[in-house]
Amino acid sequence: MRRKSVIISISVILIVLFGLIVYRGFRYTRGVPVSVEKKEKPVLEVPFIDIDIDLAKDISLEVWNRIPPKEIELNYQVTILPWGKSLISPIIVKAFHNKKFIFFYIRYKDETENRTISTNKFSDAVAIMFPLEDKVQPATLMMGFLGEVNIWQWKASQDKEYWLKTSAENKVYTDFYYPFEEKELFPVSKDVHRSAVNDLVAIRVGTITPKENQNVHGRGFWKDGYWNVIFKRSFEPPDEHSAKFVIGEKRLCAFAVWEGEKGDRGGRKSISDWVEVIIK
Amino acid sequence: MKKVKTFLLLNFFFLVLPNLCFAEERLIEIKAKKFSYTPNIIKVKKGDLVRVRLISEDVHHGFFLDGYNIETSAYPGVDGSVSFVANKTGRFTFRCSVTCGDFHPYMVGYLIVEPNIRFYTFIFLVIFLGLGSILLLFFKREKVNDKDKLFGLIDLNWRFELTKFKIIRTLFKSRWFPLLLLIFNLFVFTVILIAGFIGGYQAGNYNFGIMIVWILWWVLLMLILVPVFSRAWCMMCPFPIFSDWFQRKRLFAVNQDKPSGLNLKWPKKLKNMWLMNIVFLFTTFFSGFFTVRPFATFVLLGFIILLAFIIGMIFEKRSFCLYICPISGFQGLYSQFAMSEIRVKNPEICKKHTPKTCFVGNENGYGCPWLLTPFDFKKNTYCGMCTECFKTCPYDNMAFNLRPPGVDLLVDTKREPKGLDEAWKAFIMLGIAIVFFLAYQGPWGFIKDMARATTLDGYLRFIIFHTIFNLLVIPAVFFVFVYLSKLFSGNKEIPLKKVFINFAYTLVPIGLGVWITFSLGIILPNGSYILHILSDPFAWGWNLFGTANFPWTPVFTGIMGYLQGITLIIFYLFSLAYGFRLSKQVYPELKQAKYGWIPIFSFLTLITLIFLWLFIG
Repeated sequence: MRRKSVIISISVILIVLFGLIVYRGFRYTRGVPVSVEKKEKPVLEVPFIDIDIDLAKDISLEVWNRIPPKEIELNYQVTILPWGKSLISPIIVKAFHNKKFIFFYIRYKDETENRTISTNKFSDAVAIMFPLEDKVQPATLMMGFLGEVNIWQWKASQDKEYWLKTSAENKVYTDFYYPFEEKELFPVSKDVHRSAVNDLVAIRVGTITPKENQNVHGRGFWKDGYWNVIFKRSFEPPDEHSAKFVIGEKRLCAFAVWEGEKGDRGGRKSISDWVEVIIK
Repeated sequence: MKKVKTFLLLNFFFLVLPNLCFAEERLIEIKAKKFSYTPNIIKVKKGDLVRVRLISEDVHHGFFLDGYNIETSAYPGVDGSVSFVANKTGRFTFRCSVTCGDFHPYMVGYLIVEPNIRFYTFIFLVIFLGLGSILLLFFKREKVNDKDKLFGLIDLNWRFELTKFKIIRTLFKSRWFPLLLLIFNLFVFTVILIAGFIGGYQAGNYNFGIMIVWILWWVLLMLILVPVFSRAWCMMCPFPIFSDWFQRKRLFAVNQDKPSGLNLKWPKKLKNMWLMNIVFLFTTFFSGFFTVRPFATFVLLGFIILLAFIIGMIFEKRSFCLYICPISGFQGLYSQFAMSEIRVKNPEICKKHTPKTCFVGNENGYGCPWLLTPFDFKKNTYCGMCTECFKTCPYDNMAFNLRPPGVDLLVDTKREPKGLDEAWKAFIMLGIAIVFFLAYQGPWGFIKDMARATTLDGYLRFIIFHTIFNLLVIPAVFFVFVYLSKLFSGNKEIPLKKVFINFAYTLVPIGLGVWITFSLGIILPNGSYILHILSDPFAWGWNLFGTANFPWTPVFTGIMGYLQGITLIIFYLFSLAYGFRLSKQVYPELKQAKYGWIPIFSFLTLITLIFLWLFIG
């Protein structure tokens, strides 16, 4: 009788223990839960300053010194191949408007100035993405899950062609401007840039499309290992596919940086999470 | 000569010319979504230029085509593409090459390059060999004094004793054997349990537990252990080791005291395979979980170990292994086909020897833990090969023999009236092979969704279909052929139940062949994952053997169809060979045996053709 009781007790204890292990396993099969503080979105204030910047002259660095900087952290883009192999972070962002135009200023450290594109040589670039729909996903990863967005992408190579009026390509194209023919037999069509900034629209990954009208201007200067890039657009949206800014309202935006020297292009880039933009 | 010319001309017109004339460019858009492709079966003609555009509708998916060894992959919004000339005919599996979720290894589709000559050739071979065997049966005169030889080549009484070699005999008599194997496996299964517990929902193909149990162990069991070494796994299985230690109160030495625990006798009504049949079938309801989710494997193995221990505390010796263990039943069934056995050398010595130390034990070893009487072993079915009888026999009268495969099928002890349990085990194993193939190696996504319980409704349908198909449909179809057999034989006296049970054993060779064929479809495409998990068993970033970054590499998948076809034909022939011998055991007259054999032969041929269609058609 005693033996029977002992065996029943052992069996019950073992079953309970196993049950507890299984319970714990079921509870934590996706990992031990940890509480993560919800990170507040960085806020970028856009004050009203009654000044205009003529990008053709300079980018008026002294104006920017009057506006407090906002430091934005960037991360590797690891959602879609090719993954970024270098990381540029943080970047300094400032912005203001004068009711006619809105300006964004981005400054970040980059040891090399990459304005020339060639085989295995890529241009530096910076972009700002504005969601156009009210319902926005909580992360900027995988634009594929987003609705419509307006992207402003400044490219150093395009800046070189637009502002400095020199070719951004190395002279290695055998049939590019063929010098010996009076008439080009196989002409290569090449866009003449209307700005150093591409005004783009997209609805998800793989759908980036240049807009019919290019509404955003910009210019970049590289000095002492830093890029200083300015974006300029009319305060009022020029068309329905453009970011809309309203005084007193909050908007979202995100930033991306390509470091040409490290082979960044396409999806290989550093990206930020959403940043709140408050128009004052 | 004229006939040959006509034959060649016809071949040219009907086989060669169409392929030369009508080769075309085919653009095929394949949509990939967890865990199937649309379209899932693609047919092209030999010579076609095939351009595949892969479109992912959810996550990153891959496309690897067996035989052609070409690959592409696609993200949502970023399509993949690959082009090739379909210059090899046959059915080729395309499979996801990017780990996309739990059912990733089961995400497949078929490309059929017509004409599927490989399939037609095997169909022809099955029919040709099958009908040939029937013709031989009816037209070849049997000589009265002929030795019974398998395929006319191997004497069924041939045995080769391996234990006559001193080193093997010493090993079998040592108490370290199979204890060291048990301890090694105990270590491996401890790692498996830990990996299963901490693995959670980790992708199964990157989990040590899943890969070792369901890829390596299962395939070893079906490919080598059972067909060659009978129930050798039971010899080294660590599951009952705790109850052995508990009962014996010793880790190593022999204890002749009364065993601890209640030591009750197993209920008489349950002394058969029925409980094992039910437990095994019930276990397969969850195959869509434990073959892909590490934690489900942990729960399954943990539960088996716990149950083995508790049963060991209550009932005598290895009652768990004999009457409950889900793995034990099919091993017992298929071990009848094994190429080795443990038997008595000289029965006369055993007759005179009292007490029967192999049954009651002595200072050298325990009495048969499997509650058998080794001195009159006839079949492998219930012998767990623990080698205690080698240790306890003072006359060294036990032998470990090599033998022709399948001879146990002709041993007619315990077939009737209680043999229905073993017959149903054969049906269940055959049925599960079909359901598993459809769910895990077939291209039909809706079945996978049912098996992985995407919806409760679908999962319940899967369970109901699975149960009815295995317990009722297959036995019912078999019964029809058995009934026809009795009708054809003209024998009215013999009980239908006896015919049913005896012929059920013809399903053992073909059943084992089907499982070997199925196992090839597991190990060849997925075996390379094992290199990864050996180096990094807990997914902690280790690289113990330098193989942690070994990429997924399908092996011999291009010729897998041939291997599968050949395997099925070989085991089909074994089924035929033993089937007619069983027919002669069932029916008292040779003429009755011959005519009674025809329906059973037809059934075996039919299921072989069905499996050929499933695997390579």
